Amino acid sequence: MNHDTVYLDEKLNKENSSEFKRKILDSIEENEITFISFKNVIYIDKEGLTILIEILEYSKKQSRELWLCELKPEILEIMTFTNLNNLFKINNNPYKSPE
Amino acid sequence: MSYRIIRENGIVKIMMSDSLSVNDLEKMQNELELFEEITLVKLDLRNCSYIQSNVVSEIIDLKKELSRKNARLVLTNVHEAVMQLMEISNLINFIDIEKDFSSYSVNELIEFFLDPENCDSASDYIAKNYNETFKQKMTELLYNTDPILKEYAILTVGKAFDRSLLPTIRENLDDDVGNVNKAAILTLGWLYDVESKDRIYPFLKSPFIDVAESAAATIALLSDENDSTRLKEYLKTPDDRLKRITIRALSLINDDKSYGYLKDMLTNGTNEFIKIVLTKAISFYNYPETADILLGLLRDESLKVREEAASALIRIKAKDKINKILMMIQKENGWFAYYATKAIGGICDSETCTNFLVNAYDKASGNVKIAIIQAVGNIGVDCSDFLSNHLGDENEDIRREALVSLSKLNQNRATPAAKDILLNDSNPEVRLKAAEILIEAKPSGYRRFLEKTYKRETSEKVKEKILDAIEKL
Repeated sequence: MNHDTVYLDEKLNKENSSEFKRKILDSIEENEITFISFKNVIYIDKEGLTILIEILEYSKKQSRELWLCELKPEILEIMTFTNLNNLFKINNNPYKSPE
Repeated sequence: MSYRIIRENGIVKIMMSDSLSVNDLEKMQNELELFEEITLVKLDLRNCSYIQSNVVSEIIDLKKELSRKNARLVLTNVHEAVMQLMEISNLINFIDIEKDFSSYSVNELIEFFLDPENCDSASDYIAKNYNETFKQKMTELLYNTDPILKEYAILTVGKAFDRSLLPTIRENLDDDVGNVNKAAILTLGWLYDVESKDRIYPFLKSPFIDVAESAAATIALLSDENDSTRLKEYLKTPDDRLKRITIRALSLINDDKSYGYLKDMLTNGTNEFIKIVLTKAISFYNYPETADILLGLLRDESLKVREEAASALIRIKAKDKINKILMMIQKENGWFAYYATKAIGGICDSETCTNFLVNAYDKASGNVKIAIIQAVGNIGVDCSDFLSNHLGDENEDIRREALVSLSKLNQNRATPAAKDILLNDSNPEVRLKAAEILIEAKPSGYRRFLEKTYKRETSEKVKEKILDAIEKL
């Protein structure tokens, strides 16, 4: 299955939500599996999380798989607090590709 | 025939009847020979509550045969009794075993909602394959009297993003069971149902912490420009638990107002527990002054707050504060310098920082010395000479940390050093660390070395570590 990894920037928030949304949607259109790497993410807010949920809904409609990977403990804590860890597939990237 | 073969693309699914014999496997293997381009064979044992012990070796043979054709063998839906036999015969380590929900009917699938081990995966499977049949079943369950079935039906509808059931999910905010309320709250957040926000606020005061947390998180997800001010009122409560979840919700909202409220709370004094939560929360605001606030917290009277501030400075990669922190380390000693040094170890990756810390070492107090040794290992610039000089230090913590940092920076020097320490150091904790480093590095001839060391080692803990490594070889 073809796949791609999208590396997020430091910010997953209101400042750049439309930018990362476009990047991920492009990947979903072209790949059966999209991994979103959080390795660089430092700042995250509700805007970023809301966009991620929208993207997940879109990927389900397209019958594509979406994985979140390389989450630092603090980011994972936020995913757990919001229970989004039950909505998203979260794992280390088994198809880790170079940046 | 006691099995049925279903083939779809490169995947072959074999449904077994109530038992699996050597004869079945031989027949199966012959049939599989006829197929070309198989990538995966799923042997479904859901109806099979018994297998003969001699079948085990046949399964291994089948796996080998399929491997030769570049195909995988997976046993699915293995019965508990069969699983036990596989554990006894050690087959469990050689064969992939998975749950395959596609073998179950809708009614069978929802029974998994009552099984704590499989409820989440069953819900994920239904959400992934959501169709009219599943929708009908979930709608039925939303009115079921069993709260567990109801809870998982709500979550499944949320995972499937089925907005047509929103009115029914909203009704479940009035349910008497906490977990049903929680599922409804979460799902309303996932489905971005802003209309429900006002009804979710009272759950912040729920006696069940996970319900209150879900309410806080969902309010944050559904928030607009007025919610920070509304949530601020909950910061005044004497209930620390409610304060904590409110702080986290405000940090997620991450607007100017919420920042102001959290900063005020941090400045105006609060207890240690809340201050730790605030320190982390404030680090998620990308404002120029955030790093300065965290730097100030390195001097907090609570060591736990200082530690949280140091971790936050590392997390936000406060590189522009490196010089400021180094100057602080130069002027001061004690716990402040300890946490500042830890922060430098996580933020800096340049030779300047390593040289600075190495030069500061002699004048540093005991705990700062340990922090310096750890920090140079984390910075990543090779200073093997400095570290090697401390492998014989009289303080065992320094010897141990020097070896750990050396192993991060220069494996060629760390390996012989670890061997020497394992044979000669007087402290078992230092020897244990040396053993761990050697086991990780696996230098040539190390099995013989471990065997030799095992014979003379006196500490049970170290012996156990070595024996475990030898057994794995």
